[in-house]
Amino acid sequence: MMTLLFILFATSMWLGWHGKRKPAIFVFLVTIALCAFWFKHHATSELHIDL
Amino acid sequence: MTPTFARKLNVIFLIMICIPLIGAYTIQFGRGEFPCPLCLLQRLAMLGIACGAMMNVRYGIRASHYGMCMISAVLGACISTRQILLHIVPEPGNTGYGSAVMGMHLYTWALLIFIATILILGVVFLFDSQFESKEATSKTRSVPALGAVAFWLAFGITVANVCTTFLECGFKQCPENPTSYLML
Repeated sequence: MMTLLFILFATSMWLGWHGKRKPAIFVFLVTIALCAFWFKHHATSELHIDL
Repeated sequence: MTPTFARKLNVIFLIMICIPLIGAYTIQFGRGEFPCPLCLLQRLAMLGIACGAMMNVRYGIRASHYGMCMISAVLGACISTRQILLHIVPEPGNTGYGSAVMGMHLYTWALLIFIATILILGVVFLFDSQFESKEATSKTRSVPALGAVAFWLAFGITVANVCTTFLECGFKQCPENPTSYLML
């Protein structure tokens, strides 16, 4: 999964550099959404803090 | 601030955001420390910032490109804050993940970088004269040599991360405390 996220960012950069602006932004937004999902997936352990 | 000057600033910004990513590789290979999943997610957030800056360099200055940087910086700040909170109360055997660099762990440095990025974007947004019309920024334009170098640097770091992350995690979920490259 993590490798896929890096591949998606590389794809976004490549598309953006080669004139595909809208697809680049679309891939970027998909990647950010997946990053947020994967962050939530990994943030499972309880924090020992009193807020 | 003229659009041309703003593009030059974005080239510099693109190079600067690559520096901590290169630094992370120096720690990874120089000291033999393996990046944890949250560390990798912070790298991804920095690459997201690089994406936005690269779009400004390639197409011209648009608020939507800065928006890409802002979204990535906020996500990165959330991730690094989470990791700081995991280690905020030092215990025997839990003095933070990885070794400290100049007195702070990499995730603390990352939070400072994300906050600095948000602050810089806020300052940059004050200059309305840099923004161009949609028509003017719909096509690619010629990029100075330093801009091309900055793009290939950022793209090269991204591809390198594809390779090293695959070597570390393979097809599985990355381990919380990696101690070796699973694919080697």
